[in-house]
Amino acid sequence: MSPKRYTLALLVLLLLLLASAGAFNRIVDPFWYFRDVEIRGFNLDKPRFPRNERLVKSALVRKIRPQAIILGNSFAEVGFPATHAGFTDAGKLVPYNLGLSGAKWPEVYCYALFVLAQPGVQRVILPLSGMTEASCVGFPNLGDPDYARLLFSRNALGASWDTLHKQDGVPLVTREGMWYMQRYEAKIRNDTDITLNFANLMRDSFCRSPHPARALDPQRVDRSAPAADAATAGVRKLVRLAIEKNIRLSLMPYPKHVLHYEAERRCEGIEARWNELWKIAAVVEQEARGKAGPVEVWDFHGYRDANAERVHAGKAMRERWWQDNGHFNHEVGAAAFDSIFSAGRAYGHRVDTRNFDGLVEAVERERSDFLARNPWVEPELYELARLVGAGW
Amino acid sequence: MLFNSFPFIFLFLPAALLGFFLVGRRAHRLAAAWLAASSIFFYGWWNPAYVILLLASIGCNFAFGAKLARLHAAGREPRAGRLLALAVAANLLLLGYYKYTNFFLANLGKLAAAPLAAEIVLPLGISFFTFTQIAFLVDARRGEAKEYNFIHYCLFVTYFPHLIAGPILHHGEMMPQFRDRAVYRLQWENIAVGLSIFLIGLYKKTVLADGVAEYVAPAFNAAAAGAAPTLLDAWGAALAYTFQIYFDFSGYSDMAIGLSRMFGILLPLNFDSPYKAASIIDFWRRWHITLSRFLRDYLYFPLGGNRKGAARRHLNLFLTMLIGGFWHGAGWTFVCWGALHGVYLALNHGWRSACQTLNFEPERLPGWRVFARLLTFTAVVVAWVFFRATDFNAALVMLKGMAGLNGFVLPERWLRYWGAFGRWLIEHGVRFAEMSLFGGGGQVNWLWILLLVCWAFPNTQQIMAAHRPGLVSPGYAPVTPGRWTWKPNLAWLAITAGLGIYALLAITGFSEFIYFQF
Repeated sequence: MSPKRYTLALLVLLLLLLASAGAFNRIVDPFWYFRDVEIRGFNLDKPRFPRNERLVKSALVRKIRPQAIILGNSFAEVGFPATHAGFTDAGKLVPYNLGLSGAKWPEVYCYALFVLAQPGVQRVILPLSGMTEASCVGFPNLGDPDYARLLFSRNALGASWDTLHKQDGVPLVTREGMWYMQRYEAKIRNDTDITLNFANLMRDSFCRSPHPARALDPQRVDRSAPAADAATAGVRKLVRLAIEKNIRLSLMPYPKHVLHYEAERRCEGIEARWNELWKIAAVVEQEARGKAGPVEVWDFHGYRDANAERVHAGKAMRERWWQDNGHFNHEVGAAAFDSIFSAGRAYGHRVDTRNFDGLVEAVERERSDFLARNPWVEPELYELARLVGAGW
Repeated sequence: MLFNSFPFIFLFLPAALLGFFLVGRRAHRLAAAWLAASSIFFYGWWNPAYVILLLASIGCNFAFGAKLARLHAAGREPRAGRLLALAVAANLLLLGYYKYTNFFLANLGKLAAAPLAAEIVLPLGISFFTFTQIAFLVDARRGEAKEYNFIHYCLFVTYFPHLIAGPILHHGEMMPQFRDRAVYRLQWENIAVGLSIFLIGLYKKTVLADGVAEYVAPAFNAAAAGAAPTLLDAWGAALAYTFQIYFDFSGYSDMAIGLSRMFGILLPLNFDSPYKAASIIDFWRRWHITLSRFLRDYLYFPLGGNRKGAARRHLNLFLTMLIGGFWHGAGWTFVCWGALHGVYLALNHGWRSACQTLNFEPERLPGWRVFARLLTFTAVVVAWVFFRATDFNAALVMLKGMAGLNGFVLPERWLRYWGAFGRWLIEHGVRFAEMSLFGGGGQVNWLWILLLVCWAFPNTQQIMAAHRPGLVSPGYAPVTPGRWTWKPNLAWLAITAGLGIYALLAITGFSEFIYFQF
């Protein structure tokens, strides 16, 4: 073979192989970015989407231009149904769940800045896990599709291959970005598996030296006006942006399971949680300068049915409302959205500095009543702690 | 712009090649200018502001060089000496400002107990283009640099295949090639050979180096954060880095050599299977060859080399390696790495002298070569720990781990597969636990496969030996063909295309070459 033929054949071969890989990935579309071909049984289940969501989610926001967006970490990604009728204004708004598994506050904050800068955004759900301002240097290309990785990478090829081979109809993610996490996990078959899974994911909530559950100490809830300092600078900036662009921004702490609250009461106490909520409400009011702005604060803390599913509920994993103490399923998220957007089910409360004290007292009362009616709480909590060797 | 990026491979390179050969048909000087301009564009892609610095450096050094040559020709040696000192000092000052200011400030700050730092961005490739030009100045002063064509000089310094991370070129081996008319004619053999070398290099970088890289950071970062990696964690990370840096840098060098070959220009070979070395002396004749020869010719020899007795020779070797270490990076860990290699070299020379005196030939002992190779490899791995660690303490923590002083733990997962053997180990005091700093079976597989590649496979130039892949530096062993020799045939077409597509599909985002930071 002459060097010329060899060179030309090599170039043609490389280009052909590369083009084939690109075409294959474009058709199978394992990351749900292109959306040209969507056929049940062929590529509608996307098994490799969760591991690659950071590659596509922000780019999708720019591509499909959603008007109603959910931000946050996996709690939001698993729990908030983007297609909720109230959230989408009866289907009039294009929704997307931009929750990212494992996202810490700086990442969520940078994504929030990105979302608030997009044209056409009308509603944003932002559960808070921090309030500070963060550097976004580590997230330089939000919104830009990385075609090389989407089409011409081994990762994409592997994902396409997996997609073709795992079309068993078990949903893992929705087209609108919601993740089912372990809800349909075949390995979690019975009550024992469910309990162990719950315990493992709750591991970090068990402190080393628990004390008896404490009632709220009102003296430890700080109700002073938060200073305009670094501690709240991030949330202030987001609130200001939302007001400026008239985007309905719903802020909230993440809803938690009652077992989580009970663990908190045996460890660092529940006051820090209320302090954070007070701060959020006060910051929003400070930034709104007394006017009724588009930013609202919600809380879903409480000892209500939606947060109080038993670990030993005798229900299969797929029928449960909670996968663990932090990952709630979309039924709980829908209840929260009912409260926010449809004035429906009395699950949560809209919070401001005026109704704050009443809310605190109500939750304490609710807790006493709930614990009196539900003696399973303490045994189940200690069982979970024992399962992870927390020494309780 | 990175060699391992789609814009470089599919836009810049074809445009540069096409322009070069189209213009080269009509005017050679213009083609050289095109290539120099392309190279400057390539450099400016990273930070256009530093193009001015690069051009200023080239302009000044060319002027200094021309003047030095004139002074030498006129026999005005004392003046030439003073001018050379001034020119070298100017180059070192520039390098010192950009590369070492923060190092000195940080150390000064430690002494004064007040943190000091300046905001200086290190221009890409400054160490390489400074060294290249210092060599040119010294040669001009000696009357060894013959040609003073500014376009060719500009191309010699900026030539994009070597600009960022070498190989460090010698004026005398490049200028004659730029003068050669044949270079400006498209020759398909050059394209075929160059493209194949480039794809092998790309595979080494994107598949091998980037593949094993994920096992490096966890243990080194943990050591820097105060954790104590166990024996397996520490060795796993140190070995992973040993392979990462080799495949990264030799991959880069292959890509540079391959790219240059497409333009018909041969670059000096930079690696010759260094981990096959059976002594440290041998290692430094195989690792970063162009830096070794630079240090030898422009530092070790001027210091006196081996002409002033054994003790002085060892001191000179030590100083050369110490400075070589400091050239790599402004940090005590690099100094330590250089010093360690200086000590290794001195010991190696001492051992050789002792063997000669005692008329002892260890090579004749059975298994000696394997032992020597293992010992050399281990010494090199230990030194890489200093090279990679973020600070001196982290390096010591890693070395403690490698010595087993932080304990020995096996991954819990392995217990499942080992059954009775695992239980036997537990009974004998071996601990199994969850290991977050060690990648388990996946990492073990990477390490033994890469070791096999380093020890049992021919290197790129051996594979390409029949087609003169690059220049062999004077005094270095000629390229010996390996078991497999590349030929433009169907089998090699399939192999090269396979490696190439695998490498191209492994380009994921931004993966800089390790040596870019130097």
